[in-house]
This record gives sequence, structure tokens and C-alpha cells, in this order.
Amino acid sequence: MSREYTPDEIREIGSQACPAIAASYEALGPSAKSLSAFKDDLYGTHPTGAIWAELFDLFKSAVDETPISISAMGQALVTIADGYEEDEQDAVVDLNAALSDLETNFEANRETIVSQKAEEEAQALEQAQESAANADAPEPV
Amino acid sequence: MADDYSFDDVPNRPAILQGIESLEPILLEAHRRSKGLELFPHAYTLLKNPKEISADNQDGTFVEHGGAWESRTLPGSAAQQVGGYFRWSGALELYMPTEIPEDTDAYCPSEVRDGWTASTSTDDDYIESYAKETTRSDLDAVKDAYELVFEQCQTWIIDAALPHLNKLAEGIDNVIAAHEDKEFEQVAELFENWEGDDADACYEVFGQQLNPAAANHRQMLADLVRSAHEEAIEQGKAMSSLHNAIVQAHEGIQEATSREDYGIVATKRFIGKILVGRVPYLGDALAVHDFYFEVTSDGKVVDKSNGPIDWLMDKIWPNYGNVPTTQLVNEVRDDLLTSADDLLNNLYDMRNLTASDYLDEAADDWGNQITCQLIPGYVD
Repeated sequence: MSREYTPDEIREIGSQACPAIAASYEALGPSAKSLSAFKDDLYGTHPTGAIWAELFDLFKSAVDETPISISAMGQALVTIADGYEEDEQDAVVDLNAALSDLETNFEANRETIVSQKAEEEAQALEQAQESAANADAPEPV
Repeated sequence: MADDYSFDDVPNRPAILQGIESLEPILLEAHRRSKGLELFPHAYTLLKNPKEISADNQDGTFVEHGGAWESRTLPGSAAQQVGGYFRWSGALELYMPTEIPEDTDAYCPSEVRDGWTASTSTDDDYIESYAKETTRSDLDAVKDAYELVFEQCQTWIIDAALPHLNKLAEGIDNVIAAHEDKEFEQVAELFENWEGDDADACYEVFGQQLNPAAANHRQMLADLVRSAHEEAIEQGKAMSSLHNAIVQAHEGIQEATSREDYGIVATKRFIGKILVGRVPYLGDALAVHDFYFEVTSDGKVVDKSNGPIDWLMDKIWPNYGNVPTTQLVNEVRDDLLTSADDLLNNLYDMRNLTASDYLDEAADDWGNQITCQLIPGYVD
């Protein structure tokens, strides 16, 4: 049995539900990042260590990229909802027609988020290096 | 009542190395005595411990005369005679044979004089140098064997990693608890109802994957958490065993030589229940799971999954006499080498078991292929 969706309802899923899930996954980020420093050394030189590290890398990819994917989809849903006029917000959405838009937007959003994150990380790294250098710099006479 | 310890109470490398060094004095004494006897077989004082010498002194068979020590048979009787002469060597802390003077207290038979060899400080130096070298080589051999285990058990690393793992476990639990009945459902329902040529694919790849993906993440993490905690237990057991082996060496030497005055047992056994971690979940089990191991006073090391591992606790070294000798300390040394080797092999065995039991399979399940079951929306 199928139900129908209005733009408002689609927007709510895109702007509320998806970000909520993404945020819960992002909360795992710091711990996963910290563990990266240890992942190769838990088993000394024994081969089981490589297996553990492999499984950990898969897990980390999953928790890093899942929120990106869900955020991208959420934004794509909002874009679709915004494509309808204000007075059409209560109308039924033709999901069929909106499909290719959804997919295109999803892909584009994903890439944007990924490059945004990369930039943020590069900036954070630069700042950290700068403040470390400033801490070492002598006082001006 | 066993004390509860945490993982960072487990004996560490510096403490254990110190424990090995604490064997130095007794090894030195053993090699001094044995070498001395080899060079001066008539120096029976080298077979007597301080208590026995003192007793001989009391009963008149070992008495001072002119700054040296006269050994005498049947003291006070008509048949008494001198058996030998000794000096106290401060360097060796032993009574070493010295010249028999002309003016002995009692009658000294010519066979005794003829068969007697005196030692000098040169001999002392030689014996001491040999004893030091041999002791050092014994201790280095033990250290080398122990280092192989230390290399595998850098406990501070796993100690630092475990809290992060536990935090991840709580986090994944939150993801599922917070969203499984609400947001996951909302998204799934939307995509389920999406109509269009490729809509089904979208639903399959994204819409319906949120719940299963979270469950997969949780399962992967469960394997990571479980294996890391089990490894921490194995490392803790190994380090505790290495430590207790040294303590046992001291105790064994003390017993084999009946030496109550041998009191340099600076190290205490590490005994008790050691809690490595308390994790919020483990796979399908929802209850809190305690990872711990226990070292009992009779030397058994126990953990939940593997049951008791009998260790060398009932090892008794033969009584070679009432003084430490090379034979005794060689056996002690060799047993320490063997136990370090055994511990290392046991560690490897447990690690191989972890891999073959579940870890290999878990890593293989995903292999290098990321799919939408891991990352919803992922299309190759």
C-alpha cells in the first residue's frame, strides 16, 4: 500500500531526520580518529594485528562516510521540496518525476561535503602547526 | 580475598627488568663458590653457608688463630688435628684457603701440609671476574628471552586504546537506540513509496539500508571490542606470569638452599583479579560484559573464556646443598628461559585462535569491498 508525500513532508525528512542520523554517526568520529593511532600496535608484531587493523579500517570508513552519504541525501530531498512553489507545498509530489533530480543532487552534494571536510581538516592542521610554531618563537625585543 | 586491580596495575617492563637484576647477588655467590671449589677442591668452606660456619665456630671445628681461621677435627680431644687454614676474602665474601703457618694450634699432619694449596688475592680477583662475567651472561640470557615477550606486550598501547573502543560501543548503541524506530523508519518509508524507473534501486541502495547498516557497524565493532579486550587479557597474563616467575625463582632458591637469611625477595607476587575492561555490549549480548583475568596464589592464571592455565608454580629445584651453586642457578636460569618461551608461544596460540575463531571471517566478510550494506547510498 503506497502513501503520498507533500513537499513539506519531504523537506522534514531531509532537514530533520537525515541530519539527526548523521549527527549521531559524527559523534563517533573523535574516538575512531584516536584509535587510528593505535590500530597497528595492539598485537605486537603478530599477523593477527594486521587483521584487526583491516577490520578497524573498514569500520572507520563506514562510520566516516555513512553520515556524509545521509547528509547528502537529506540535502537532496530539501532541494526537491524547494523546487515546488510556496502555494504547492501541500500538493502531492510526483515522486517519479523527481527521481533523476534526487540522484543528481545526491551525487553533487556528496562531493561537496567530502571536499568541504577535506578543506576543514587541512585548515585545522595548518592552524595547529601555526600555533605550535608560535609557541616556539622567541619574544620580540 | 583477592584484590581488584585495573589493567595499568599489571607489572610493567621496567619493574620486571628490575626483578631480573635482583637475582644478581645470589647468582654471583653461586658462581663464586663453584669456581672457587673448582680451583681449590679442598676449600670445604665454600660448601657451607654462614649459619653452618657459625655453628662450626661454636663447636670448635673452625676457630680463629693469628688472624686466620684454623679448621680442626675432634677439637679438645687428644686426637685433635688441623685440617686446613682459611682467610676471609672480603672481595668474595667467602672463606678461602690460605697458607698453613708453622705455629698451628694443634698438630698438623704432613699429608695435610703437603696436599694444601693456598689462594691469594690474585685468585680472588680471577674468581670474582669470572663470577661477574658468568652472572652477567646468565642475566642477559634471561633478559633477552623476556624482551621477546615485552615486544609483544606493550600494554600501555592497548590500555590507551580500550577506552576509545568502549566509547565507540556506547556511540553505536546510541545511533541505533535513537533512530531505529523513528528516523530510520521515516526514511525507509519515503523511499519505499518512491515511484519511478530507478526508484527501486534507490530504495535498495539507500532507503532500506539504514537499519541493517547500523546493525553491521555494531557487529563489526563488537568483534573489534571483543578481540581487543581478549588481547589485553593475554598481555596482562603474560606480564604477570613473567613477573611471578622471578619471584618464584627467588623462593625456589631460598627453599633449595634452606637459607632463611636469603631475604632479598624485594619483589612480591602479583596476585589478584585484574579487570581489563567493562564493555556495554558484546555482539548480541546486551548485558554489560566484564573482561578480566585472575592470578591465584597457587599460580593458576584464569580468565573467563579459557579456564585455568597451569603455570610453573609447583616447580621445585633440587637441593644441591645448603649453598647456591652453579648447578642450581643454571637450572633456575634455564627454567626462566623456558617459561618465557612458553608464555610467548601461548600468546601466539591465543592470537591465532582469535584470528581463526572469528576475526579473520569478520574482516573477510567485508573484504576490500565497500557496499551499500556498510555505507548506505554507496554505489561502486
